Amino acid sequence: MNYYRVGCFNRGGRSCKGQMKIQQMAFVLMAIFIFFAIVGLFYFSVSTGSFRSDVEKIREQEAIESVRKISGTPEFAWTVYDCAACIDFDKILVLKEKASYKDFWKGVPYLKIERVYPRYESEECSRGVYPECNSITIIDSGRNTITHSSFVALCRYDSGNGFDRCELGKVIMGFETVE
Amino acid sequence: MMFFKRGQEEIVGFVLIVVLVSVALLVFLGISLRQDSSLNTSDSADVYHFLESSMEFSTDCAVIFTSDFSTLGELFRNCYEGKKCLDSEKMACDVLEENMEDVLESAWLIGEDRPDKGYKFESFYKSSEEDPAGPGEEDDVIIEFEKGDCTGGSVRGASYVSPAGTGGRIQSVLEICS
Repeated sequence: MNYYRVGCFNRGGRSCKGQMKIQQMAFVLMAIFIFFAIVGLFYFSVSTGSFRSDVEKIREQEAIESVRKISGTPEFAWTVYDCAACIDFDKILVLKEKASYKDFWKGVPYLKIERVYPRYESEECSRGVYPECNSITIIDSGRNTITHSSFVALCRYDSGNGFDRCELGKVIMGFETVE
Repeated sequence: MMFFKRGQEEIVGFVLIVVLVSVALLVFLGISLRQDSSLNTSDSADVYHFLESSMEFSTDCAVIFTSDFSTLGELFRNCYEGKKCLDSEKMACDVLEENMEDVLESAWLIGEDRPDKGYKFESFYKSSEEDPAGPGEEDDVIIEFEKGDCTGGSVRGASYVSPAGTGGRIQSVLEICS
């Protein structure tokens, strides 16, 4: 009876051993390659995760900056002296009542100016309680929004004392969310 | 003898692989740790806007003449120069401390069950331009506050620089710990 070894043709099985070694080597190389590929994938997923949080941070900062930008517009700006952080609280109260400004900020679903310090008892400002009130809501469309806020100085003319007074406030702006 | 030689070869190969893998892991660990430490403290536009706006806050302290009330930003300078308020005879530093503390407490709600766990505020006079961001040995601290827990977690902050009369500058640094 004749037996044949598949793949080994030389005498003494020398070539067979060589082939085995080559196979071993190939398997080890493949294992190393797969291992490094898995490590690479893991590293890639971790770094991509941090990219995502970085992007979220940058988006938030951009939203805050765009909220802040509104304080520089002529409708809000305090023009008595040069102050980038100041907005005119008197002007905003008048602006709220002006019917012509109702559709002025079309893309903005929510816009509110809030006093942070000092705080008073009355929440929403009207001519009756002003300036001892905490907020002026300019736009409230009632739509689903995500809000961002930025600190500003709320400046007004203090008629009782006859000088300008600035207090700490916030501009709160709503951005539409996907329903 | 041949058996031992073959075994030694295998062991050397195995050790080589282990060394290679551990070097790769160390490199990966090093990179990820370096990234984490750089992310720990970040500049915040929100904190900067707070500092910028609070510097415009009007106080009840007039230093030069009675109806010219100083802003918080001006009070830092007046406090450093050791001036007094004209109407109340209070020191500018006392009024500054009272107002700054109230403004900070109203703006940043701190607590264990809140997103912000604590804050650190420091204001100091810097005499020259080449100083690093923090207070140096020659810098005079004007006021400093600390509230809540600022030992762990991430920190966001900003610094605001305003000119001081004597050629130097006053730097205010606020760090919010989350």
